[in-house]
Amino acid sequence: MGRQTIREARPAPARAVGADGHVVATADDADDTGHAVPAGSVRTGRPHRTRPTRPTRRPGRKGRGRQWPGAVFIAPHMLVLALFMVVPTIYAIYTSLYTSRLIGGTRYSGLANYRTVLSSPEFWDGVRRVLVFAAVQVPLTIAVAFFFAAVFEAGVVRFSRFFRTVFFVPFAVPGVVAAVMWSFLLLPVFGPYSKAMSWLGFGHVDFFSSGMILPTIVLIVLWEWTGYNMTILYTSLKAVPREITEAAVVGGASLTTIILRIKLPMVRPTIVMLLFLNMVGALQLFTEPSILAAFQPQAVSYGFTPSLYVYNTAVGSGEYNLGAAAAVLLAMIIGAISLAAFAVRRRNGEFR
Amino acid sequence: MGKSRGGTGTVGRRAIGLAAAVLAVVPLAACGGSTSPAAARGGSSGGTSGGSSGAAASGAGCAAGATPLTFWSWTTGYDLAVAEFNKTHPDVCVQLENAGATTAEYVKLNDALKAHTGAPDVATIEYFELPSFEITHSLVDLSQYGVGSSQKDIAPVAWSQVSQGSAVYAMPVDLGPLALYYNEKQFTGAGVSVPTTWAQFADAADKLHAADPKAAITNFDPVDIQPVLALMQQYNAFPFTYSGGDTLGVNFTGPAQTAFANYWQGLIDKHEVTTAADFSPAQWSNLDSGANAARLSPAWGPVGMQLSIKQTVGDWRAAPLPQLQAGQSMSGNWGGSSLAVIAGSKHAKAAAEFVQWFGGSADAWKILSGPVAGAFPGYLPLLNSPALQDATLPISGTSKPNAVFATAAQNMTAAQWPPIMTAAATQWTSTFAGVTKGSETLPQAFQTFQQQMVKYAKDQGFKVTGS
Repeated sequence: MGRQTIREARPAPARAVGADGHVVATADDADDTGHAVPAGSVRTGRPHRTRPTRPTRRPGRKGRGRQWPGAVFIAPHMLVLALFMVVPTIYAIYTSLYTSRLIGGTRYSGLANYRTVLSSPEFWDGVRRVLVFAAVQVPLTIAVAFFFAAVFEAGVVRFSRFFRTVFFVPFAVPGVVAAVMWSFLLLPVFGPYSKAMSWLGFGHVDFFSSGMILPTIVLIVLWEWTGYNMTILYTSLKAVPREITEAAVVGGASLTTIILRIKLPMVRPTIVMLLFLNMVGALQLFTEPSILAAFQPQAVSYGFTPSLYVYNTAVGSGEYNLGAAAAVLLAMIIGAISLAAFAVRRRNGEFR
Repeated sequence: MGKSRGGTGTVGRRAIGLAAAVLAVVPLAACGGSTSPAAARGGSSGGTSGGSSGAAASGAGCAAGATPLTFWSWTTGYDLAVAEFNKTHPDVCVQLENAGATTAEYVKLNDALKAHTGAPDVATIEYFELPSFEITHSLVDLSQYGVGSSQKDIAPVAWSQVSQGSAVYAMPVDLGPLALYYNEKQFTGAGVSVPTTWAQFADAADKLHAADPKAAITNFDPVDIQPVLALMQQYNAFPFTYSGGDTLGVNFTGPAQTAFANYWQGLIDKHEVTTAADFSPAQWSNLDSGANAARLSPAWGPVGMQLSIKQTVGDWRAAPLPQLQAGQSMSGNWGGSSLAVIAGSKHAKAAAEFVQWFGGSADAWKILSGPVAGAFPGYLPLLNSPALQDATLPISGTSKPNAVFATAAQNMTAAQWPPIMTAAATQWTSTFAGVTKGSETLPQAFQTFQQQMVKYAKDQGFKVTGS
């Protein structure tokens, strides 16, 4: 995923140049419009749709012959995708249409499981909770990440490479370990943070009370994911052409202006992408609350997040069919958001 | 969220994440908050190690041609007993595997049984979970292999929980009888005598709290289903009735249950009882600082407690649990487990021989009651022996707490566990969390849980009776 991310992080400068047209490098394309265009020149106003005319010009075996190495390269991925994504998804949908009982066995029940989930306040509480969580955590993470990425990229702090590594380290810590660690650090009364808070005069702060549990999880996730987002933004900022920055400096722009008015707009596609990657991750929130539940059972309820609802229904209560229905519904909600993200990025001019 | 974040959010990817999380989370959940390896959460028997995983194969030195048996268990020290069995029974070779603690193991066992492959020959199953496996016909009736001959050696409360009529579905191993484990110095200091009824217990709570506003008589963790059910059982308010078949009684709102709920809510409201999570650092700290003057402790409790407190070591004494009415001598059971032979085993006869030896022989109990396993016996020759009853622990000074626990073990009635305990435990935690937070009362939580359980049982196809 990291590789893909870095690749997609780049289009900013490219777009600045070629937002309306293409850098045309092949002489073949000249046929399309009837007159020769010198290689390397910029053509404007040519719609994309007319482009895939190649198969007619390069017909038959040659075209297919060109495709087979591609097929070989994507085959392992497709196989894994089919085995671990398509097959389980189909099985989950199949399972969700049946109902198993301790007394009476298994029988087809149509959409009854979906109706049960959709009418369950626990499920919707969880959905609402992760939406609130995402609305706070995602912008916060990206803002903090952008701040540090911009500061490190501008070269205004010493040892920036060291600090970049330090910031990235939490991402290398598995989510389970991070949650266990924070569970101890934030322990009421005995934890160092709780002690520090009362020492600072905030009184007795219970990080696991019903009002504080969500901010606490935001804190843990922020700690885990800022470094990751920062690294991607840093790479993207590095891709901003040096000449532009230099021109701005010569023109007398301040550092703040350069970062906010020049660099920020240029890495906007990266930020949009991170926004949706983080959003999808936030909606699947599971590891942190499920670990916290082991330490603080009163803080995390049965359906605290939709993923926990799926887990507790299927594994905890043995209602696998109901859990499968909830999983399918959750996948549909996240799928809809992913499609929206795709549409936004397409409109922004990515995927050309 | 796991590091799989950033995908397109499909069931498959999450399924893998879930599977990984199951493996990672459940052993933790099973010993959540316990700071000592000997005190596991969730009513499991003494000396469990939730953290360890993987197949700890033992008995590698078996003779060729010996009958192989796989045995799933998570309890510390069982490997020693298995090694002893393999040494003294060269014709059988038991391989011990750790498939996770309590619920984690039951989930795996259920999956293996559904898949008709991968199930062990023998598994540790706690008493409360046995009916869940009986109803799916997953346990071998051991009476056909003569295991019934052990009945005379086993505490009646344990035996009645593994048997249905003449059928015997498991061999009892350990028990968790409850007693009042109190700080003698603190009681004496406040001029409080040891209460013998729950009414006296409430008076003692008043006195202790009056003497020191920070002091509560004990801790009552509403979120932990096992001790609450054990106390309800002793209060003659056990909420379930079940004797096999498809009729299940659920009653959390009858007069006895409501009286129980009101009793504890009253103490919580007056701050005379704390509601810390069982086995949490807060609970140990309360016991050590005088914030809790007593603990309603299972027999396997003192060993773990001894490792978790410092200041009050030597001050703790055991007394029988307070009674509903003067003159009674009832106790409740928190935890304890049995060994069951799993249906489909190709070597059920050898497996039956193994489980009978494990729970019902002096050789096995010499190891199981030893310092590593530290199990409290359901095996009468040991339960009634001076070796057990006269044993002392540093936490209790020169007193003999085991004598009290051993008597308590004889004064318990068998609980009629419903075959839906896994679901009950999962939903309980969420429903009763409000009592800890103070956002709802215990009677209100009982009302809610009644509705949840009735609905769940009906969804599962049971005919439900209740209030």
